[in-house]
This record gives sequence, C-alpha cells and structure tokens, in this order.
Amino acid sequence: MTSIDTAAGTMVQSFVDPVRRYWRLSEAGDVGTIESQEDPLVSPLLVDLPERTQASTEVRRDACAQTGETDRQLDRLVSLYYAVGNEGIDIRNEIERIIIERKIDSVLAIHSRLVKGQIVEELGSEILRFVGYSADLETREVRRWLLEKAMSLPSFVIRDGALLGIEAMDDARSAVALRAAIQKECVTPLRRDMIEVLAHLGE
Amino acid sequence: MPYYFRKISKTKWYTAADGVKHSWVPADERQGDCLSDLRTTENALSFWHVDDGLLNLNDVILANAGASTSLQHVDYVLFEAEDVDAICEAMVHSEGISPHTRANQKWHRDATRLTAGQVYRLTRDAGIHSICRVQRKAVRSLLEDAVEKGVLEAEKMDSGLRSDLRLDSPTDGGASMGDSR
Repeated sequence: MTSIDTAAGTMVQSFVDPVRRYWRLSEAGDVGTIESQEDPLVSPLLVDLPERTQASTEVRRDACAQTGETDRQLDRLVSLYYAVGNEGIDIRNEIERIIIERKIDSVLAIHSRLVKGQIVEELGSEILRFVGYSADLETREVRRWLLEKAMSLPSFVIRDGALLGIEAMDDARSAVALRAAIQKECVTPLRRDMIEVLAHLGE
Repeated sequence: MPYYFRKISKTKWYTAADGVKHSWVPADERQGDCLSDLRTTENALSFWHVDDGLLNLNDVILANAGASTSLQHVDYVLFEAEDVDAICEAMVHSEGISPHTRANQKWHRDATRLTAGQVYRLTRDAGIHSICRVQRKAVRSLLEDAVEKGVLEAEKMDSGLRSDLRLDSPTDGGASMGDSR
C-alpha cells in the first residue's frame, strides 16, 4: 500500500465512523435529543458530522455495508434466542464478540434496536448487562453512554439490565445519570437497587 | 419461622404493588414469566433451607453464586417454609450441587412429585418473606473471601467463574472472557 493509499484509508475510516454513528442515532430518533441536550458523552461522536454532506457514494456504500454486517450479527443472536432460549446460547460471549468485531457500531445498533423495541425485553436486558461486563476498552465510553441512555427506556426489565451493566462497569461518572433515573423510577424495588448501586459506584 | 431460598430473576416477580403497571396482571397475581424461575426437572424443584434467624443465608447465597458459570448478581426469593411444605408435601433432603460442600449436605432440599397446579400455587399462595438482590460487586467479595477461607472449593467452580475471579494462574490461560473489573 502506498502512502497515498494509507492516508486515504485513514481518511475514509475516520469519515465513515461519524457517518455510521449519525445514521444509527438518527435511526433511533436520538439525534435531536442529543444535540439539544449537548450530551457530553455523545457530542464528541458528532463532531465530524458537518463533513457527512461531502461523503462520496463509495464512502456511503462502505458505511452501509459495515452497518449491515453488525445488523446481521445481531439478527443472528436474536434468532438464536428465539430458537433455543437464553440458556441455550452464551449471550455474554456473543455480545463480547460482536463488540470486539463491530466496535462502536455494535453499541449504536443495540441502542437503535432497544429504542425501537426490536429486541424482546429479556434478551435486551441480558445484552445490556453483558455490554457492562465487556472488557473492550475502545468502546468503554460509548458503552457507558448506552447503559445510561437505557435507564430512561420505558421497560423496567430493560432498565434493570442497564442498571446491572452500570454496576459492572463501576464508573463513578454514571452517578449523574443514575441520580436522574432514581428521581424518575416508579418501580419501587428497582429504585432501591438503583440507590444501592449508586451508593457503591466507583468504590 | 424458617424459609426456602430459590434463585430467581427478580424483575419477573414484580407486582402491581411494586409499581409495575401491566394492565393485564390483576393486583393479586404475578406475571406469567415468574413460572420460568420455578421450572421443574423430573417434576422436582430445588430449594435451599434457610433457618429462621437467617444465620445460614450467606452460605446459601455463596452456594448459589459459586455454582454459577460466571460472576454475576444473585436474585433470590425467600418463601415461608411452612407454606411451601403445605403446598409441595413431598419435600426431601437431598445433596446440592455447588462448590459449598457443607451447604450441599445441610441445607439443600428437593420438592418432589410436583404437579403444575402445585407450582402455580407457589407463586400465588406461598408467603414471601423477601425478594432480594446481592449485587455483583458484593458477590465478588463474598466469593473471594469464601475461597480464601476454604469455605468454597475453587476447583469445583466453573471455569468461567474462576476466570472472572482470576483464580486461575496466568499459565493456565488467565482471564479468557472480558470483565470490566
């Protein structure tokens, strides 16, 4: 590969990611919310967005292909879950593999599906727990973002999975989101669990 | 009054009184999903006996956490033993399968010859002392402490759990799965 090819490859890569991220977030109807709240966790992901208008057809196609592969992997997991149930598959291993292979796109894809209600509650809850268990450092911030966002989803089963993920990540920076979730939580035992997690966060 | 411990998924046991608003669940009923936590094998259901002072509760939690395939939280329900005995009738002392030998021998029980009706009655009629969660971080502390004191036999633990607890030496491969801590 020549130096020009390398530079072009780097440029394409750095460009593709924001495009993909934007698509994911806009798919879930989240762009407006994030931009209006200037979410400190997500705004860095959107920095390059003005450039997306300059994306070539090739770059868009590449972004599309990568997004498609992540969706295929998640579809496979969902199909397996329906076929054999949660005891028939190692959801933790599957999620870890998808996160390691698909990186930020996997997290955004999970977020998108949860927001749109495309994952059955129990599986969604398990996925969030294992998103918190993941050891992938590269996606740590966006995983934390996902878990914190999921704390405001309508399903208490999903919120519980997100809480378990947050507890596993044990990042004191989640305290702000957790306090906000506690204020809004109407399921008493879940609220108690949130308070307990908050009390020990980052210890 | 003694209790029977059963590991569950806590959210499946929430009721209207807990603030869950499912229009299709009457106030005196539980969600149907809670039955999946009472799945019988050969018409038997495994329980752990907990004494009335809850003095052996930590041991029972340890036995269950230690029998898991990975480091995770423990959700459990404590049923009133008197009610469960009345519903199940054929409760027998049997040896548990966990790395906690003493708990296996002393506190494990099997409710045998169960009908579907009896399982349902457990969710409807058996008194519940509490439904609790031990967070993952607390489970880690309990397990580490128990292994150090020899209460749990590490070699009887699943490799996934040993890996999460970093009990295997690095030459054995160390942590094979991701763990955020």
